[in-house]
Amino acid sequence: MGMTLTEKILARASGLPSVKPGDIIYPEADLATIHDLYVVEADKDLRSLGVERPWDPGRVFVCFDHDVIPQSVAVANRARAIREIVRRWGVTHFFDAGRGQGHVFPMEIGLVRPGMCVLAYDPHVTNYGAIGCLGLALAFEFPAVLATGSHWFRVPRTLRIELEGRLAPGVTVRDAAAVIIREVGPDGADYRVFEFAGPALDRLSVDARVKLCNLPVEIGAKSAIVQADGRVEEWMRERGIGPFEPAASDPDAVFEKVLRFDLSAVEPVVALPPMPDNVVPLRQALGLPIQAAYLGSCAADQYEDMAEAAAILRGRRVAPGVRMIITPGSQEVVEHCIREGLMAVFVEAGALVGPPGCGPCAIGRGGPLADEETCIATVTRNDVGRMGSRKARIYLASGATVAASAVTGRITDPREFLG
Amino acid sequence: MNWILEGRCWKFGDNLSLDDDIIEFAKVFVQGVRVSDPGYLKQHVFTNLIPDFPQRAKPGDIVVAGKRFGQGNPHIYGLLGMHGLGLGLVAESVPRFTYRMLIAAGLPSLPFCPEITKMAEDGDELRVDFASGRFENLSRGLSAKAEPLPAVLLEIIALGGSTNALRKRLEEGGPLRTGGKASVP
Repeated sequence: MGMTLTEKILARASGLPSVKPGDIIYPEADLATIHDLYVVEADKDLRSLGVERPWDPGRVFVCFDHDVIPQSVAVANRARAIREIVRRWGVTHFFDAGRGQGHVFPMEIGLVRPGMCVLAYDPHVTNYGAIGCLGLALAFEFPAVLATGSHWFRVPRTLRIELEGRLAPGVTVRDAAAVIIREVGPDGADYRVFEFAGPALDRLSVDARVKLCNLPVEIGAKSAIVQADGRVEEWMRERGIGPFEPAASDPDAVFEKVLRFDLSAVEPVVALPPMPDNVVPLRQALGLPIQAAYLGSCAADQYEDMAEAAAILRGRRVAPGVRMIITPGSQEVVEHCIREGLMAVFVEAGALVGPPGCGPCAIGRGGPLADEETCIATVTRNDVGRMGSRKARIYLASGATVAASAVTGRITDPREFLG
Repeated sequence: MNWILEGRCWKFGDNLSLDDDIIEFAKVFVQGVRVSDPGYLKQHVFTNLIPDFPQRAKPGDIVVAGKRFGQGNPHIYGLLGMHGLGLGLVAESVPRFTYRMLIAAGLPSLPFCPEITKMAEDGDELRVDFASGRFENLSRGLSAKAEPLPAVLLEIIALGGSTNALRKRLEEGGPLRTGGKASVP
């Protein structure tokens, strides 16, 4: 019997000829990823177990993307402790503050590649699915991965989503991803891997695929993945990353369900607070006054997201009474924005450009919301308190909608600025 | 490990949240630091729903819940508190991250028992065998059978949860135990 792409990666990482949904397996991480907020706790947990350093420091990735610029002496002291721990562990893949968002730049530098199995402390590792890598998150149990390289997993079922059609002008793949999580819903998503496929994929760049792979985890999906095809190969070649073994589901693989999804039917949408799957047509929120607009986080901080917003901000200004913060995902994205003149657009529009990292999506770091404020943002989630005050409201939307709303000071349809 | 619990039914509805219903997340913090000691956490379990729950619940009592027990941000603390009280869990369904955390917290569980809330009322006497999946309502003379957790996961619960299981893995298997079936404890 054939296997899905996810089952193939899990079988290979577990040293088994094959796996099927429901099997309990112990895959070994090709890479284990943690971020700055977890390092001190991880070291404490490992030492209480008598473990001095991770099972294979060459396969551990640590990056500073949450507290990029320490806002207090206590945080600066913790940053110093993190650097000491990383040195003691002998970690090869350590990236200090400002290098980028950890769910984005490892793909750009070839550290994460198609077919890999990455075990992570943080749920948005599913971004790596955009290039055919399987990312799985663990949280509380992560010391097991650091100590041994593996931990138990139950092989998930795969839900295949066949994309067809073309997005209309002013409608973005973020809108499509939001509609997909609304349609599938928590019961349909729980414990499944979303595998994106279909004829429309040829027209979707790696940046666009990251948007597709980022959102499903919010409703309980285990992961999301797209097979590594010619688009991925081209993207990697542009970055000087060597060849890879193509990986795809077998023709006779068993999917729990195959859903067809027509991109041409998608309209701009917004997720109302406080749940990321409260997705409604944008027209239901039009005109709502905002005080903050944010473009960034691992859900929307690649070059295409920046370009989508810049197309609207070019020659315009952020409205009085609104602050707009932008955090590009990595040094590569910053350089690309400079090369293409996007930074000038952002500065002339009066937006604040922050350092690469998670930005205010990490509980408001680098720009928290105040009580009673309303923000429109591209962030991953809109729970109470996600971007600062528990009394603020967060509306989730595409980079284009965020930019259009920043310009008018009210939630605005980006199509008003087109053509 | 005795897999059979016998005690009072504490019945709850659907969608109990990890961070407010099972335990209020703010109560997990002591002086700004998260606490994972079940002995501490057990004082705050279900208190937003039943203020004196920790005083009234006895070891062996069984929580019977509806669909999506433990939904929300994947925080384990309320489940550690339930373990601290010596409870068992029978639910119609749980989200996948919560399934993991039940094992990690060492909580005897039958996480997928469709319709089980129709077979028990609050205060009934229950007997549940978490190894075989047999559910008995002694007050009403009803019984049912659910899929038990797989043996490899029951073993983790028998050890008291993921931290103890990891300690054992490290003692017995050396630092690296992967490579397929040979690695399964």
